[in-house]
Order: sequence, then C-alpha cells, then structure tokens
Amino acid sequence: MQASFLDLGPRARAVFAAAYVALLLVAITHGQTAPDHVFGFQMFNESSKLRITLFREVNTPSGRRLVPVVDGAWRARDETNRVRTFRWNDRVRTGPIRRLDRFVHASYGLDAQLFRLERALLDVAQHTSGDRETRALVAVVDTLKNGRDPRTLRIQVVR
Amino acid sequence: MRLLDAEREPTVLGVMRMGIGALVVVQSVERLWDVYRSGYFGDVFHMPILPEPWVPSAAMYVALQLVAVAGGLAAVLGPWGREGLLTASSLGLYLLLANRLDYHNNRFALFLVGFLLAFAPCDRSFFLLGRPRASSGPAPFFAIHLIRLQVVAIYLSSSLGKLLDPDWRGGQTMGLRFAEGLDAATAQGIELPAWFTALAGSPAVASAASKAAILTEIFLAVGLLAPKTRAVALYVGVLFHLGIELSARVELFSYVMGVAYVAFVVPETRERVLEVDRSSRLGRIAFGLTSHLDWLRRFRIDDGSPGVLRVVDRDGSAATGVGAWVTLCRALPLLFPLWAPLAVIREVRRSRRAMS
Repeated sequence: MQASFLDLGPRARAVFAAAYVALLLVAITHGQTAPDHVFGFQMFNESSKLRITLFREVNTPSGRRLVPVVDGAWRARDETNRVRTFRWNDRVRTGPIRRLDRFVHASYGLDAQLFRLERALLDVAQHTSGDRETRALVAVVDTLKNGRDPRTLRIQVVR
Repeated sequence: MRLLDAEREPTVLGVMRMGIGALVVVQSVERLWDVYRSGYFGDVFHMPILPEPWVPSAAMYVALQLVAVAGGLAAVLGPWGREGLLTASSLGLYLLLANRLDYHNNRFALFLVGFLLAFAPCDRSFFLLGRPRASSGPAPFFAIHLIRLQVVAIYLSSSLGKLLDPDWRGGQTMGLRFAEGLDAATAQGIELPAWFTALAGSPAVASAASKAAILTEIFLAVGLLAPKTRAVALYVGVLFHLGIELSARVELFSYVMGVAYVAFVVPETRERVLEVDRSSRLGRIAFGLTSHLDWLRRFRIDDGSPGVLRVVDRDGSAATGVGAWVTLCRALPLLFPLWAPLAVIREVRRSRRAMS
C-alpha cells in the first residue's frame, strides 16, 4: 500500500541505501582526518587542556611591541582618533576558545581548538576594522595533551 | 537484497517516531533558546562548512528552527509524522553544515536517525491525533536496517578511534577524566570515601576502565548485529549509556541511542502471553505494569489461574514466579535494567533448589 511518497519502490530503496552508506563512509572517514573530527563520532577523544593568552602587536616609538590583552578587552584609537573598546567575546562566544587566561578543557581535542582558535583570530582581526593601532593579534597557547607534554604555541594573525 | 525487500510488522516503529520527534523538538527549542540567550551564531564568529552565502540570516534561522519544531511535533502526534521527521532532520543537518562550531555528535546522530526513520513505515501506529493513513500490515524495513547500520557505525568509529590512540587505550585519557570528576566533587563539597578516591585515582583502574570502555563499544557494534547476542548487547548498551549520562554532559546522546535501540527489537507484536489473576495483588501489579509500560506491544494479556502469574515466551516456554518477572523485565523498556539482576536471582534460586 503506497501511503506516502516516502515509501520507496524496490529500485529506489537500493539506490537510497547505496547512496546513504557511501555518504556515511565519506563523512566518517572525513571525521578521522578533520582537526575537529566533525562527522567522525569521536566521543571523549582527549582529556587535553589549553590556556590562551592574547596579545596585540602595536607600533611604538621604539618599534613594534606586544601588549597583553587584559580580561579579553583592549582600547585603541579608530580612524577619527576616538578611543574605542574592543572585546574578544564580542565575536568569540562559543566553546573553550571564548575563555582567555586560564586552562580549559579542549573539547574534541587540542587540534580542534587550535584549528578554531586560528579561525577565530582571523575573524576578530577582520571584524575590528575600527582599531587603527593593532597590527597583529597574537595568541600564546599553553597546551597539555592528555595531562602531559606541555607546549607553548604562538598563533599570529596580521591585520 | 533480502534486507532491502524484507517486510515486517511496523507497529513498534510508531514508538521510535514519537521518541525521535520529541528529541527533535527538544533540540530545536534548545537552539532557539541559544539565540535568545547569546544571539544568533551568524552575527559572530562561526565556521560554516557550506559557502558563507548559504548560511541563513537570523530571521531565517529562527524560522527554520520553528519549522523543525513543527516537524518534530508532527512526528510526536502522528499525522504527517514522517514528512515532519524528514523536514526537521534535513533542516537540522543543513544547520549543522552552516556552523561546525554547533556540531556535536549527538545532534548529528539524532538527525541521521530521524532522516532514515522518515523512510520507514513508522506512520502506522501510536497516533495521538487522528488515524494512520495506512494499515499496520507488513511493510518494507530497509530503512530500519540502515538505522541499525548507523548505530553500529557510531560504536565502531568511536571504539576504533580510542583503540588506535595509545593515551586512550593506556588509561591516561580516562584517568584524567576520573581526576576531573574527583576535583568537581571536592569543589562541590562532596566528601567521597577514601577507598573510592584511591580507586578512581589509580592508573591501573583507569587503564582497566579504558580497555573495558573500548571493548564495550566493540561488543555493542558486533553484538547488536547478531540475533543471538542482541538482547545482551542491548542490555550492556543501556547500562553503558546510563553510566555516560550520569558521568558526563552529552546533551541528548543517551536518549537518541535509547530510541535508536528500538530498531533492534523483534518488530512482531503480541508474541508473548502474560496470564494473570487480577484478583491477586501481584497479578494486579503485573497487569498494571504491562498495560502501561508495554510500549513495544510484546504481550497479549490473558486471564490466568487463581493466584498464578505465568508468562509464555515467544518459543512457547512458560515461566512462573521470578521467571515470569524476568521475561516481563526483558520486554518492558522501563523495567529492562532489572532484567539481568532478576535473571541472576532466578539462576541462584534454581541452583539452590538443584543442590537441595
């Protein structure tokens, strides 16, 4: 009894099943190699942590200098020479990378959060066009992969 | 080809439709709540997998989530439930592609199961509104086999990832999770017994627990497929997900897998018989429990001999006393966790009787 257009005929069932299985395999295979394991069903894959410390690179009379971003906010002059406040969380609101200056659990693993952090830095750099002072955003990231192997990475995005 | 063409009784699939529909509603309402609480993801940093122009506007996003809620509600109520599931799960998958920061395995699993279920004959039973359009006679089950495959793929992918990671199989990853759990308990002022703290902090225990978790997932992947081990695998799976639900924040994952487990039950209904004497207290309890909790229509209820509670299983074997309760618990979803403890009690009593 044909009750719905969703009741597929025998040939359509075979095509549907083959297409679904192929797509599922592609998605899961992609998930194994993607830094954030998207579509990969990698549950609880790491117990790693990271701490992001954010800096701005600014020009000073004595040359370029790194200025720490305190509490996720900084003040800088815009094109009209007016001082404005910019905040990391104005743009970055999701996941562990929204938190600065303290160790947080790296959900989906360190690679996932570093991948997202790099994109987040680019995003913030692009969306703070009013800031005429900051030449680059620099994230210094302390990582602990599964509780050991402490490392410090530096990710820089030039504006 | 046999799996693609096989037709089975679809009654139990109505339970799946309602369950997945309810979870879709919860999921979509939570995303709408996110918009209310934190704003629209598209207005701040996000990472689309699709090209950026395909990311919906805030108004369109809210509209799509409301459509998904309506689709989920249709699935819960019955009429147009399959169409509702198809719409809601397709929208859910599209919105996951619109922002990979919003990706979570449980949401992906929910939408995949919902999408597949739309192609299964789940519109023949369990209508809260109106009546089914089609009869409840045998219907193609190919989509249910795909849901089974989907569930197995989740366990296999998860277990193989852990197996190939030395930190996972060695216990380092699990040990840190235990340590974080202990820290969280301490922070909340919960005083744990010293023996428990020592046990949870032991690297040997973490290593054993890791290997047990990996083996459990592999067993679930294999055991759910084989008819002979399926009931045990379902039982292990239920305990596994209850454990995860109690120890971690996994959104709807445990519920999604619980509903997806219905795809593994024998679809034919009323193949077991419960004979009860409703004048006795025990008989009334058994009758009440079975009347209200037999969502998968496992039992036909007949009047039994005075004072006797008797269950006739699918293979014709009959049981009374604890044995009858074992069969009841095996078949009633809410009582399923009691199946193994009762079976152990039955076996202990049997062996005691044999010895005496």
